[in-house]
Amino acid sequence: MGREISFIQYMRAHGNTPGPTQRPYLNGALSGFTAAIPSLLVFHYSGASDSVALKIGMNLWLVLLLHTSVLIVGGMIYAAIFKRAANDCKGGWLFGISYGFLLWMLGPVTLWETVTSLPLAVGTAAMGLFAAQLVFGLLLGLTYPRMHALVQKRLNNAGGAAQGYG
Amino acid sequence: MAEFMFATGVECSYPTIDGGRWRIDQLEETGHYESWRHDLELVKELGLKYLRYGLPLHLTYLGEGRYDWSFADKVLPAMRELEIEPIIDLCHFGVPDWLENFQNTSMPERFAEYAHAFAERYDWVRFFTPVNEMYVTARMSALDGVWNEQMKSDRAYVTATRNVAKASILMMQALLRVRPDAIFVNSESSEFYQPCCPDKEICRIAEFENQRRFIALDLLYGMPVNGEIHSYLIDNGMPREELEWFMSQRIGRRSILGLDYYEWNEKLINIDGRPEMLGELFGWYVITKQYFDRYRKPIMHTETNTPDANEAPQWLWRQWHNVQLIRRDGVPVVGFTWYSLQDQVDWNIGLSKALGNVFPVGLYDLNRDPRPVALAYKHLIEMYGNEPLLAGTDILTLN
Repeated sequence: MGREISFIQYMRAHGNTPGPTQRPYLNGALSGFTAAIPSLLVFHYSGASDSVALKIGMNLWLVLLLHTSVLIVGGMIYAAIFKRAANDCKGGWLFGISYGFLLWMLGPVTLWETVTSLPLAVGTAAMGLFAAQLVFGLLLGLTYPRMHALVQKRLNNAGGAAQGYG
Repeated sequence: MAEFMFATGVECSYPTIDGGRWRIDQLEETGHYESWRHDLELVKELGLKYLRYGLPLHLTYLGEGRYDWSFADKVLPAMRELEIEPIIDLCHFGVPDWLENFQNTSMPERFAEYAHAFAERYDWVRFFTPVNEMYVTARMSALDGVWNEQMKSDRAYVTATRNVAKASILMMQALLRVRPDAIFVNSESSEFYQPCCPDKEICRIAEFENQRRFIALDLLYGMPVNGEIHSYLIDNGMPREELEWFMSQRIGRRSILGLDYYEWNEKLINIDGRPEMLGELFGWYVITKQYFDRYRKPIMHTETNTPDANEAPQWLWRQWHNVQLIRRDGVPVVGFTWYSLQDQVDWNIGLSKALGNVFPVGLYDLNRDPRPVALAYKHLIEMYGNEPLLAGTDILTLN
C-alpha cells in the first residue's frame, strides 16, 4: 500500500542523484562531442559559422573549435542538470531538444545581444545557428542513454558509499 | 543444503479500478514485458537466488480450463536457466475479468484449478504464494472501495476474506497433489493499530482492527477466532459450517509466514475513529513478534521499501537489523526481501488511479539503472550470504 508524499519530497525521493554506476560528466562530455559533430555540419554549411567568425573577429577554424568545446561543456552541464533522468531512452530526445533550445535562447540570443546589442547572425545564418543548437540537443538527448550503457561501471565495481549505517 | 533466502520481487499487481473499466497492470507499467530477460539478469547481478514473481493472471487464465502460457513459457525457463528460484505469486490483488471479483464464490475452486494446471506445467517450481496479502486484498477491494468490486461494507469484506482464504487453502491442496514437497510463503501485510487516546470507543476500534488484521490468516491456518471476531464473521454472512471447515483444514504444515512491512503499516486510530498513517512506531520486530506468537510459523520478511530513494539504503539496513535482532531472540526468520526489483507506478496513491507516477522504491529505476539501495543490498548479501538457518526452519529441507 502506498502513501501521499509532498511534491518536493517526491522530486527529491526520485533520486535525481546519479546512481552508483553512473559516470555523468564523462558521459556528458562524450555524448556532447558525439552530438557536436552533426551540429557542426549544420553550423558550418548554413553559413552560421562564417557569420559568427565575422562578428567576433576570429578565424573560422577557431570558431569551429570553440563551438565544439562549448558543446562538450554543454553536454557536461546537461548531465549535471538532468542527472539520472538523462538516462531515459524514451524521454531523452525531448529533454535534449528542450536543452538545445535553451542553449540557443541563452547564448546567441540573450547573452550575445545583451552584451553587443547586435544580432550574432541574420537570415539563413540565423536559422542555421538555431538549427545547429536544436540538432545538438536532440542528438545529445538520444546519445546520452546509449553512451551511458557503454561507460557505466558494473555494480560489482561501484563504490561503497551506499552502505548506509550497516 | 538449505540457506537463508535473500530475495527481491517483480511488482506484478493487476487489480481493476473505476468499476472494472480499467485494469492496472504493473508488469506493463514498469516495462517488464519488454525487459523481462534483462530484469532476470539484474537479479543475478545482485547475487540473489530467490525472486518473488507473479504471472499476469488476467492474461494467463482465460477461462475454465483455458490458459495462455506464452509469456510464462518464455520467462520461467529463463529463470530456471539462470538458477533463480521463483516464489510464484498465484494471485496478486486481482482476478481475470471472467471471474469478476473477490465476491464471486466460485473463485476459490477456479483458483485451485489454475494452481493445479500451473504446477503440472512447471513441475520444477517449489515455492508458492497462493494469494498475496489476503488482508490488503480484501480490505482494498471490499472495505475501502478502491479495487476490483470497490465495495465498502463489512459483509463484502467478510465475503472477500472467506473467498481468498478458501482459495489459498484449495490452491495449497491442489499444489501438494502435484508437488508434495511444495513450500508456501503466505505473504501478509503486517499491520498494527494504535489508539490515539484513552477514549473507550477509540480503544475499541483499535482493538477490533488489531483483531481483524488476523482474520484471513486465522482462517488459513485453522486458528480459532475469538468471540468478537466469531460474531463479526457470522453476522456478516459466514455460515457456521464454513467456519468449521476452515478450522478443520490444518494446511499450514508446509508454510512460511511472510510478513511485509512498510512505514505506513502502523496506523493511528485518530479522534474521529479513522486510521491515519503513523510512520514507524514499533517497527517490524514488534509487529512480527505478535504474528509469530500467534501462528508459530517460520517467518520471512517478504516485502519492504521506502519511497525516498536517497534514504532507502538506511531503511534497508534498519529492516535487516530488525531481522537480525528477532533471530537472536529465537524467532526463525528464513528470508529477507527488498521489494521490488524495479520502481513501481502509482503505488504512492495505492493504485487507486492510473496516473502513471513513478514510485521510486526499486533496486533499479525504470531505465534499469541501479539506485543506491541496489548497491547497499548487494553489499548486505555479500556480507550475510552465509547466514545460518535457525532451529524451527527445517521446513526448507522437508521433502
